[in-house]
Amino acid sequence: MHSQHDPTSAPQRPQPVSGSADAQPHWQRLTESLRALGPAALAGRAGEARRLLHESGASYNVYRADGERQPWPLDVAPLLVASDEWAAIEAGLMQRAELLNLLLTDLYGAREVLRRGLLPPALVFGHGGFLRACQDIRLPFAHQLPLYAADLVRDRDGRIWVLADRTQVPSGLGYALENRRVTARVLPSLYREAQAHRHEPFLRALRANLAAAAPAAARRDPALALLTPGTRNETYFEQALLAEMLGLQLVEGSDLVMRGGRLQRRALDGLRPVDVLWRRVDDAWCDPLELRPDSVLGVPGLLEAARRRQVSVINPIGSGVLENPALGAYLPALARHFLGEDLRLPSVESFWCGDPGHLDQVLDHLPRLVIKRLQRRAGERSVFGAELDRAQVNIWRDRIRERPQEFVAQAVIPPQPVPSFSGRALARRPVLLRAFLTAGNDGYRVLPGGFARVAPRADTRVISNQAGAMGKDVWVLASEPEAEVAYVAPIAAVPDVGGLSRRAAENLFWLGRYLERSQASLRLLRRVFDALGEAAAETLGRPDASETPLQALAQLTDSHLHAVASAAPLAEQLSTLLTDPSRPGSVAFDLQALERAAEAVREHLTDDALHVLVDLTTPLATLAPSATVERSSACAQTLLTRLLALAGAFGTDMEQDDGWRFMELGRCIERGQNLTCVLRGLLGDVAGEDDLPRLRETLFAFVGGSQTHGQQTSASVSPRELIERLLLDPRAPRGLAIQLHDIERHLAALPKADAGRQLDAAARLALDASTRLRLLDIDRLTPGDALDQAAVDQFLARGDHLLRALSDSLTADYFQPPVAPHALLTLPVDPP
Amino acid sequence: MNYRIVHTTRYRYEQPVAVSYNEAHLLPRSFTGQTVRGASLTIDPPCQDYRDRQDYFGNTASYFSIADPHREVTITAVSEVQLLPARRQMSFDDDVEWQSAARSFMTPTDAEALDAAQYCLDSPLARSGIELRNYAAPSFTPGRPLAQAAAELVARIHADFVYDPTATDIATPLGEVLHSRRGVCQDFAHLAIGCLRSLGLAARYVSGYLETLPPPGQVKLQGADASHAWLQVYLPGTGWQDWDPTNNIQPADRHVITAWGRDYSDVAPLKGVIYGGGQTHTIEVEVDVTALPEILEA
Repeated sequence: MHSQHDPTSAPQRPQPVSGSADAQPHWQRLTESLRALGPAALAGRAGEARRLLHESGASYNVYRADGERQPWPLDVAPLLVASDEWAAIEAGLMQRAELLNLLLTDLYGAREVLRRGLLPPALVFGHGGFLRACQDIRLPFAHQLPLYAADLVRDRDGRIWVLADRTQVPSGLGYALENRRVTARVLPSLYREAQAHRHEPFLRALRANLAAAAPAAARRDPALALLTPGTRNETYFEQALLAEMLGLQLVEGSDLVMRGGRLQRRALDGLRPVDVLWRRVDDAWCDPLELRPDSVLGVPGLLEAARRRQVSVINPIGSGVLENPALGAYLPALARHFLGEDLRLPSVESFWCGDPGHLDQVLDHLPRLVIKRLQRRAGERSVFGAELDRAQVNIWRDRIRERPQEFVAQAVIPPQPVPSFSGRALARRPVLLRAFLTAGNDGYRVLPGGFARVAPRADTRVISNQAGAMGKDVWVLASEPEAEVAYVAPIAAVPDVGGLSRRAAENLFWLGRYLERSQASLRLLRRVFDALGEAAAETLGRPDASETPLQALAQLTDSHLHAVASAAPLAEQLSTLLTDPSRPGSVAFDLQALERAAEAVREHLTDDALHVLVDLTTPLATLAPSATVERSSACAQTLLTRLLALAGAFGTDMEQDDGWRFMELGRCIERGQNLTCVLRGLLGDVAGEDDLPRLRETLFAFVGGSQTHGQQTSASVSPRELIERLLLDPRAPRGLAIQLHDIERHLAALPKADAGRQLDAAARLALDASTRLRLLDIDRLTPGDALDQAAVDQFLARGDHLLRALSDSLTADYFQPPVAPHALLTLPVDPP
Repeated sequence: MNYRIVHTTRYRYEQPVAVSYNEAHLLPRSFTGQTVRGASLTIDPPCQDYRDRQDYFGNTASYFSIADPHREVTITAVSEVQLLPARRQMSFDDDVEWQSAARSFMTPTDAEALDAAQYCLDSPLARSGIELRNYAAPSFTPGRPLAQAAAELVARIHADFVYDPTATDIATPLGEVLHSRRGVCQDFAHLAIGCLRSLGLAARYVSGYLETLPPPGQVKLQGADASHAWLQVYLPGTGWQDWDPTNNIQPADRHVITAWGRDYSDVAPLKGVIYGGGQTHTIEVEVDVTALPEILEA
């Protein structure tokens, strides 16, 4: 099926498919089957698809002010492509990939195409994607363009056109896999009967090709990594998915460092080389030393490492030069030059205004064309001539005449609509297909199918994720039955080579901290809500029942809460503490931080933990601002239950490795600090012995365990018993003793950072804290069974200080480099 | 003429720098007009990873990284350069008319012209624009020979602009320089380049040095005791011609070329990325250009 590209074969264009697509027999079968299901059942399947996508966390992060992720919308009706039609598309794609591969090699080498007049010099030199720093950098590999994606459209006459070439960081493959997984799950019998080509062989080839691109010295067992711009990148979801499926280390720029002439990954126990880097960071952001100095997404020295062939960067930095939309006009001649063939898959008709002949045509036909910049600028959209009025057309004519070299115009191709299910009914919608190719030593291979996007309406001109397009699976119908594969499992495991990255360690640590912090706040909030509810219910209720937990809550969240006779203003303050994500210290704030930390370490979390995380904060979103005390209390309880489920998933289902240890360290340190903080605040206010019973209930609940521990009645408690239970009792689950014990245990099991020198700092602090506790003379804090407030506070202050220092010490020794790199010279950069 | 050049750069940081990555354009290049007899960089504290390479423009670019914590770094470039008498001195008689020169870059006919074509286009620090075109226009009347017009443009910049090291820094936009009429050699070079590009002509930025000793009885030239910058204009059929707008002269036997590119950003003497170092740092630069006695060659 995946025939190699043969330059001697006769040029063959994809055969036009006449009439509308769905008149073909395979489409008819599909639409009949979908109709037979009926709209209600179909809607049910679509709902099931949404649920599956939601559970897997599939998202496309459109940059929105609230930082929310946009769920991945899926049209469950697949796009069908017949076997023979696909064969022609495939041959066209392989030819085009090979052509672009040769062109890329030439542009960063001899530039023969300019010398021969096949491309105007200003078209290349004037494109911001042409990076002079990349001259003569070569992959130690047969192909310089290992990955390639093309956006295809079928016009109303059935002809296939290439709308755009994606070469620097082709995206969408992960979404194609996800669309397939979900579509096959919700339409299982249709999928089985359709005999669609599977994705798995392509993924295996891709993995093998990445490994084959490694520098010669590392080819036996290369270390492969995927460089992500980070969790806030719009396609982070698919980056993490692809890293998992292909067994690649998922890294950010700050995880990498150029040392000793090689690219290295900062692991907990030292530096580990990276041999092949599939980067999802755009060209210009890859290296702040030689490219954009303001980039913190790349690695200083990465270009130099690539230049020395110590690391294979895929696709090579600089390959964005091929994304020039004006190239399309010159590809037919380039195909004849490089391949001695006619171009099989035509580009959408393109005009570069820097060419005087083209300029005249563009100015004459502007209302029928779409205008683009040679160099795409962030946030800038293509302009459709048809949408301009006369005055605007003239403005654009002047603009183009002023700087013609910066503009490209292209024909507008209305895509052939295909059957789609948008939620209510089957309707015909325009569709775009992104196809993917990977190059190996034996040539290019095409993913059978790809990533299709459907316009939200029949008349939509721009089909993009930003503009509300839906994803759609693509079924290339096999002429012969394919082996049954229910779903594609990861084809290689992420190698555990000195495992954990510093960034992952840090995120897991904070995941642990926020998990505890939000639980502590929720427990206190729940007590306050309950006390307020009782007070409201019984007129003779104790008005101060809420006072102690309220004080504790104020301490913990660093807020000024006042119990007043009327519960209303207080309820508002409490509601803020629960639901306002912009207020540091609120539950919503802590949960957001928790989610962010979890997102960054998805690959370390189990499916069960991810399932809890997906819906973790929905109770907050559905709580009305004017919710009653009862509802708020119920909400706090629901959140607490979910956090306990999460903690349970971490505790019983997670590999007890270094990552888990950092999470546990975060939890222990946070519990210890929460306790010292609350205790110091409450004891500072104690007027006399009579106050103690009032504190007892709240404090005993705070350290957990049996609430009646040590006392049959809540009426009396001695200061000594109180201190013993909170600080010294090794049975109190959230007491201080157990935290310090566990901290020491986890620290001892961690790999020694930098020859053991720095580990000592954290270990020393932990030893200091636990020794102080063990040597604590309880009689000194409670002389004659009376509370010596100053002595207790001093002891707690010291403990708090040590825990804080311990956290800082872990940060310095194990987590990020304390500072981000910055450039000494910051100059304006291309593109203009 | 032979010159020995010592170019010392010292960075002092507020806080220790844990590691730094650097790219230097401090070692002069050889070309038909100039032979480099020896050139080397000394870095203190010592660097771990050093490599010289030819960059895209044919300049020598040096990569190095310092991986030991340091608060101060001194980079010293020492080079000996022989200027050859072959450096072109234009006679303006058989010169090409500027408009046909501009047209010729659309369809270059030989490798040198093709290479020159990229210098007609905007670069980060030298962009074309209407204001620059208007400033250049009086010198570029229809049909005027290119070299003559360029010489006049350079002379006008020299006359209209005040040399003032306090007025600008390297990132000051050309529009601002044009309005304030103040700047330093880099600004004047970028300004002239921007003017020429606004007319569709090819001009490139040259970074280098100027001999410091003034001839007896003459005024000391500005740009001494520092690295210097000027420009080259491509004259179709002839080649690249140097002009120094800061001093209104055609550089010949006292201008040593380190590197050339589209503008300063292609050939900055030092670029660096550091981890740590605090909020501020100071830079000291010392340059000594000494004429060497002619050495008789065997």
